[in-house]
Amino acid sequence: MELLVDTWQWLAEPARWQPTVRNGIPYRIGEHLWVSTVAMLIAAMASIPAAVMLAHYRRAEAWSSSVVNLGRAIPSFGLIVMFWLLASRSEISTQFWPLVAALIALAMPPMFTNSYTAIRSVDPEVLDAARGMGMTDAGIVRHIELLLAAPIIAVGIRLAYVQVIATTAIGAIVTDGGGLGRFIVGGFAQGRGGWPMVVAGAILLALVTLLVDRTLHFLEGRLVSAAGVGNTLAATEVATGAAG
Amino acid sequence: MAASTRPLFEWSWLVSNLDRVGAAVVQHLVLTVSAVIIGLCLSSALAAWCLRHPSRYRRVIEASSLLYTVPSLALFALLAPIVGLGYINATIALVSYTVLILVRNIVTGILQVPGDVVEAAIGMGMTRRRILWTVEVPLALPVIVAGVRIATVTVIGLVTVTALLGLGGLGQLILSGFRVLPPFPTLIVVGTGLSVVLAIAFDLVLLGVQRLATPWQQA
Amino acid sequence: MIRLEHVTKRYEGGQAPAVEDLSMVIPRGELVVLVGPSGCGKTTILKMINRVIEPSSGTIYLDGAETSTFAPHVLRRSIGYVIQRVGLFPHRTIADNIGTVPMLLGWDDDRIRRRVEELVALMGLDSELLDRYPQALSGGQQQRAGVARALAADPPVLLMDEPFGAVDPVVRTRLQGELLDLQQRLHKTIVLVTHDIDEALRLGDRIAVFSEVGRIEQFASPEELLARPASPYVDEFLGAHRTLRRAGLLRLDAILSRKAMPADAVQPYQDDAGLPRLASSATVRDALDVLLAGKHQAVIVTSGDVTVHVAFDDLRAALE
Repeated sequence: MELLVDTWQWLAEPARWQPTVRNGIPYRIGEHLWVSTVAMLIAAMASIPAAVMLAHYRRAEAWSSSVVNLGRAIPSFGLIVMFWLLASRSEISTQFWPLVAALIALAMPPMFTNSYTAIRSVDPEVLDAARGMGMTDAGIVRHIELLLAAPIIAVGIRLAYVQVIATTAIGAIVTDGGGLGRFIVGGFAQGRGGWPMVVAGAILLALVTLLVDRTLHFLEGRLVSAAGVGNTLAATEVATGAAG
Repeated sequence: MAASTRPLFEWSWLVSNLDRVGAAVVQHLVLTVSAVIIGLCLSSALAAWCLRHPSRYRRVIEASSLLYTVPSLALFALLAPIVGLGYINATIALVSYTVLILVRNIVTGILQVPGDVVEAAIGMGMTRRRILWTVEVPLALPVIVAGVRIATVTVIGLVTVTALLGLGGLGQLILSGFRVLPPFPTLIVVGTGLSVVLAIAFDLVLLGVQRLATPWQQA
Repeated sequence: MIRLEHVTKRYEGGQAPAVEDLSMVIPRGELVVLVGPSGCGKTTILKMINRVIEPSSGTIYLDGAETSTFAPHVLRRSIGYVIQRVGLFPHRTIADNIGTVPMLLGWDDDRIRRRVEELVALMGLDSELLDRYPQALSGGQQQRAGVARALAADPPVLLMDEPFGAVDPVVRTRLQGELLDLQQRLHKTIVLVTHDIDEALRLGDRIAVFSEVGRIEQFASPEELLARPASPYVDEFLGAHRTLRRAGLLRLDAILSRKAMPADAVQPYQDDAGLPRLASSATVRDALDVLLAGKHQAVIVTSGDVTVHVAFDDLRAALE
């Protein structure tokens, strides 16, 4: 329990909380969220519109549902190191983009399949009625499909985000950054003496992840009541592929 | 910058180090299979408990979702002061990740068995136990196996991270390839590649098991 | 055969009981229909007979023995049970489905196989369906398979809960007819629940009409019900055209006995050659329909070596 006391002391050190300190907590949290968010934005832009369009036009059905399974088969750790390897053999700096590239590659498959499935599961009768009223394809996508699928897509984004945050921490192994992962990995390297930092880092990482998760969950709830649809427990099941 | 770089893949190395690679694969599989099996047993018990009282299900899902959200690195680190670094640490963490997926799939699987089928079974005079094992479980199997597939593939990926705890497996190959100077790409490529191959292989085998166990769906 | 004494079913939540102090007797070998609006408790009563629902109080006797003295699953194996959506096991072949109760009772495989083939022939199902799975069958075929399954162990009692509700009207009519034929051959004690009064009138030897509060308003034969409804509720429940519907239940056989004449003594009645002929199994209503449609004053009805003229007044007299 001495460890708990040491951990608390480590966390309570005021110098760590100065925003300007490079190895301080605010800096690391900011770094962590920056890397994660950049990766998520790019991944979302690359996967969601494409998935929505393919789903709307009913193309690539078998492939689209299996993409997420393929993505799951790729180990995050291996991918990070692979990208780092490729960067180190070329002129690219290994500090930022290799990690982000790996994160993007990891975030895309679940968001893609999730968005695809969400659009496909829109009630065909509603679409039928819309077409019958003379709506164009663009109109249907914008005014119907996206609105009805939004809660499920939001769940997919949240789950991918959580995964990216977790994987960013592992990035600390191959970079000088890696946000909160730095504390964990760095603390490990220090042996016994570094354990307070390890535990503190782990607690901070867990808390930040939960915070992001709950915030996004809350926003989802607002989205659900705005769109007036479904329940998010069911949406989560679609997103994590619970029914297969 | 880097010293002389090694080629991305050295076939000769692989051939002469098959035993080392093989050992890593075995270690990886031991961790994976034990975690999934323990996870399945635990989840079945939890699912059975949840099915008796629907309100428990919601709470169990919330609790395991919470655990699922905690990054693996953090979970390993938090467990370390309690159980040290090693198989127990890794297994506890891995099992907790499988629980969310498996409990949800087992419960959903059993609940989606058509109500009229169960009602007919009761009315014909089948005992509750017989109904569970000869009607509900077989009909829930597709959904349950789908969950086992997802859990297995996920765990195979997570096991690579356990290399940071000092455990073996394919993650150790990756780590070794990375920590040496100059970096040894073959180790990294083999470690990552085999992890993908294992994941796909298990997925396909389990899919095959599912198909074999549900002949009425192929008709 | 089945006797219910002061049976009550109360659910938690404090609302009115689903069934209150019900007593009735279902005679052996009869097809008794429980009919009434949704929520009147008729399905609850049915399910209390095989203890899928346990009564809160009261006793139910099956062939003299109290049903509560048996283990529930043992009791149910001696009672056939047919439900609306059938509930065939999707993961078992039709043959396995039908043979379920015999299997539970420990019959040997040969005996089960023979019985299954017997039932399939009885129900008019193609024997090549035996090795198929339920998904491959049409709605009507599945219903027949469900009934075969219920009859497999040859139970004396059959419980049927809206058995024909899930099929389309054409198939429903056919299945009703098949049930009547089956009952002619097997003489089981059948309790059937339906909300469709016409189905009740067609199938039942006796009908129990329930009001919304779960009370029996009348328990009588279809003819009795239509001729003398016991209360305004029953009257309204029966709907319009009671006399015409009674006419549809009354076969011309009944009139033959009053007006019998040997065939060679048939007397010409105006233009005899043009009079329409009807079988004696036709109903009074069929005869009325023919008379209303054409310009004839009578129809000719033959049964065996007996032939009669039946005129409109004769038909009216039959309905008194």
